[in-house]
Amino acid sequence: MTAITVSHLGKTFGRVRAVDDLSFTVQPGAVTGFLGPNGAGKTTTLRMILGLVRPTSGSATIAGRPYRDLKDPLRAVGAVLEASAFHPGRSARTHLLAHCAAGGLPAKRAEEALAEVDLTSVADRRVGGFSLGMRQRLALATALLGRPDLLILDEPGNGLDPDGMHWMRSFLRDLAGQGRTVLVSSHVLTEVEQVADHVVIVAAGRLLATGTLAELTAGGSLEQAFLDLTRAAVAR
Amino acid sequence: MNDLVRAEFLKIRSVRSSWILAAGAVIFCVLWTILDVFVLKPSPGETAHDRIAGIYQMAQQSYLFLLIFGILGTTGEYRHQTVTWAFLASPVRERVLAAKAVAYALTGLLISAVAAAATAVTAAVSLASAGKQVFEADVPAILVGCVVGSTLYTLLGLAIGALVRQQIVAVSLAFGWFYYAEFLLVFFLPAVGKWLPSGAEKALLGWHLPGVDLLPIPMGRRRALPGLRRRTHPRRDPYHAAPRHHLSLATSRLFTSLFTSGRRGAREGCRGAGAVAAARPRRSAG
Repeated sequence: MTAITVSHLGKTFGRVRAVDDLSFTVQPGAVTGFLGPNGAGKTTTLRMILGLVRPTSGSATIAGRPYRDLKDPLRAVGAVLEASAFHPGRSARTHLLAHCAAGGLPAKRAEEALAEVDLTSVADRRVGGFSLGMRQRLALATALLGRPDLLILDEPGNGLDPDGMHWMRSFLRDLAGQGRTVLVSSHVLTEVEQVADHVVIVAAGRLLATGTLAELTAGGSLEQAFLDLTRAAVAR
Repeated sequence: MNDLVRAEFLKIRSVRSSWILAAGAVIFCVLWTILDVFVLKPSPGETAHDRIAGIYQMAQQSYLFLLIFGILGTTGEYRHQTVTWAFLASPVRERVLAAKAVAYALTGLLISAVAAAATAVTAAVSLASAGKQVFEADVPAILVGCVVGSTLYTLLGLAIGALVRQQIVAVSLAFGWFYYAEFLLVFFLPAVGKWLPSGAEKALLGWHLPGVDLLPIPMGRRRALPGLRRRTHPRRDPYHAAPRHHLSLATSRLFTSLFTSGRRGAREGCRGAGAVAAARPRRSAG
């Protein structure tokens, strides 16, 4: 069974067609890069997969079920959509404990997740004083609380400095090494190129290409393949 | 559901605004009680019962803090985008909202109960030290009505925050509406006002306002709350019937009392400021 199945997915906001008849699958145990220019509909698609936005048409399922119907969603899927989605007055530890409680997870997972992203030393500091990189790590820790086999990450490297990017790349490699399924959207093609097995490229809400990295790049770079595809789409 | 309620309690406890608003609610009630006993002048024709009832009714002062507490509960989730985490943990949104309502209602109940208890203790000690009568039979009903009313305002705040997600806008609108617009509607357009939260609150506390038709739900009535003694009072004119919990009125009274000397001067000063605004707010327990 596929980890994620997106079938003829569409979403319209007023007159704007954000996602248009989009279909692709994410295979289990692989890292899939979800690429597209700004405004391509990546975030909207991820939010529809996670049941946060209602599709205008089509469907998105995780292991054959809509997210809303998952019995234990935090154990099935870990997601990071906004790196700064924290109450600034709450400590990292309290944020994780509250998320554990809401998801019916044991409180000890908060400590373990803090350790996994190297935030134990600042666990009791208010998130308002965190750097962007620390917030990204905390967001990842939140996604890892339920030890999910599937991770959905929206621009996890956004705004990170070189140290942060290095840490993120290592982190994604570790996840891939553990055999987890990862769907990661990103603008940083060189980073995706180093960790992704499969790639899905979208523009203007439509699918441009999907396949293994080797198939799409055909010996060239992912960046060149991406630019060729998106420019051709814009020209049409 | 229990997990979600537990998570909401943790979220409430872990931010400073909850503690500040809770402390504010209690302190505000206590300060107004002390002011009422020692500084504010009695209104003309006010009975000893009215005075005692009015002093204990200061427990109602917590409502605005709890309204804001409720508003921050939902607008904060949208402002900081933490609602996304909540909906990821529990994709059935109705459950998230229900858990939030339960947690906030219970917390609001606790805060308003503490505020009412603090008001009662302050009132009793202050009245005793002033050598005045300390207690009336319907004081428990007044305090229970204040606690129920403030708890309902917490839920109202949650609902307002869910509809108006911009925090500043929601707090400003709620303040303007509940503090001024509803007050005017209850008194000057009672056919509409009695169906609004402020009208219902006054009915809950057993107000009798001449010419103002309120819903028949006074807290002090035996049928509404067994065990609490019912008292009846003659209807009074609007001069006596203006709501004492209204801050602008209470402030007006405070200034009138501070800047005039003696009861006669106070009455004249009050009347000079306008019949309603200068009124000595009084409730009449039903």
